Amino acid sequence: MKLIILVLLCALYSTAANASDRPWNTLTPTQQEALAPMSQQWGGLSEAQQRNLLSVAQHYTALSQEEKQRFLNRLGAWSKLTPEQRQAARDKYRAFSQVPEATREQVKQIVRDDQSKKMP
Amino acid sequence: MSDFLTRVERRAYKQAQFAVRDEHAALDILQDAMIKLVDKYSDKPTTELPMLFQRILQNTIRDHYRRQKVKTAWTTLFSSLVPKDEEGERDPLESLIDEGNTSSPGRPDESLQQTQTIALIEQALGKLPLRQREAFLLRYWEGLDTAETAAAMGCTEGSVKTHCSRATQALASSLRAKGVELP
Amino acid sequence: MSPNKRLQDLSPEHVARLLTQGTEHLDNRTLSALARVRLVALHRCATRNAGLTLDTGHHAHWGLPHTTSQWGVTAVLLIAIITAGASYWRHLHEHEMSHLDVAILTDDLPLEVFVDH
Repeated sequence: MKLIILVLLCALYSTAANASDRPWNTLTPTQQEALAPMSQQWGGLSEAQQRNLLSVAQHYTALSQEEKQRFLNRLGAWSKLTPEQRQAARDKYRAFSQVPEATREQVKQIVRDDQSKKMP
Repeated sequence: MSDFLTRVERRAYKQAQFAVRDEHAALDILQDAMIKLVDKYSDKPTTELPMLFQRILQNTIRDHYRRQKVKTAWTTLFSSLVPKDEEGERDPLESLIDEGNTSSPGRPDESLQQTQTIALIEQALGKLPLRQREAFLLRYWEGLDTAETAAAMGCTEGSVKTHCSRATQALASSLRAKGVELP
Repeated sequence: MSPNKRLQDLSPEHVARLLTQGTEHLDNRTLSALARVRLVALHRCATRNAGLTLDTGHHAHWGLPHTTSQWGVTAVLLIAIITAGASYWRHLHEHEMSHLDVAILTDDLPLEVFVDH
């Protein structure tokens, strides 16, 4: 009985600790590398956003070199979006990943064509 | 007060035991009920004590039932974490059989058959639904009238009558099934 | 008792008599437990002690709360469970969200495709 209470209190404490504000210099080197584009703004982010970014950063080490590059390039723009915009993008991405492979390829081709036209 | 408690303790213990089928729990209930009586009503005239005590006892038994329900849920929830609780895990029927064997040794002048009959009646009582047993015991064993029973149970006289007649029927058929013949 | 008589109806009075006989031979262990319970209740008046249950010597089980302190412990336990449950669901949600975020941030399609401006 006492053991259960202890375990639960630890769990409570750890969730509370997770939710608290994390200064930039307390992040691990990997976290700092993944979130480098955010180093300046970090202190001004909301707790929720910090938490979200930290959990996103967890996946960083598993990325390929190319993916890491894209990740770092986009992170700044991504975190400037409003929470609603980010949620809309997630919904869109989820919907997009559910369409048939062939359709997806078509869309990707259109986007690539579109981009190459824009480029000088 | 002391005399009163001494007079009622055996019957009260048995009542609790029929309801919870566990002697430790029955003793706990009895102690709780006695403490409440002493705490609140030690200045009341002796004539009022039986009714007050019955009301407290029945409430305590009902509370125990409610707690037991929650406890069962908790025990299931934590069964993997908590070492087995021997008191809670006992088969109620098993404890009844123990009861029949050990706590009614019977006096030499009493027939074995009668001891067995008493054990079977107690067992059948234990199987009744809470309210039916409550009504039956208050009305016929404690000798309260219908109005007093209703007051002790916190229900209408009509419900008391219904509970009593159902209890009597259930007891009769349960005992007949066991081959017990009663007048 | 007259075992040769068999009636359809059961006489509650007879049952009551037998029950009373049943109380007359409780074993000594039970009788002394009863006496102890009675004494505890009677002494309770003088030594009313808030908080702790009186030990009758047969309290080895963890029952449901009897006292204020036990209720307190139960309340803490409940709150902890609810909080833990809520935070578990939140973590699950955040986990799913972070997966999507990483996918968007690393997809070969540019960010703008998914973002409405």
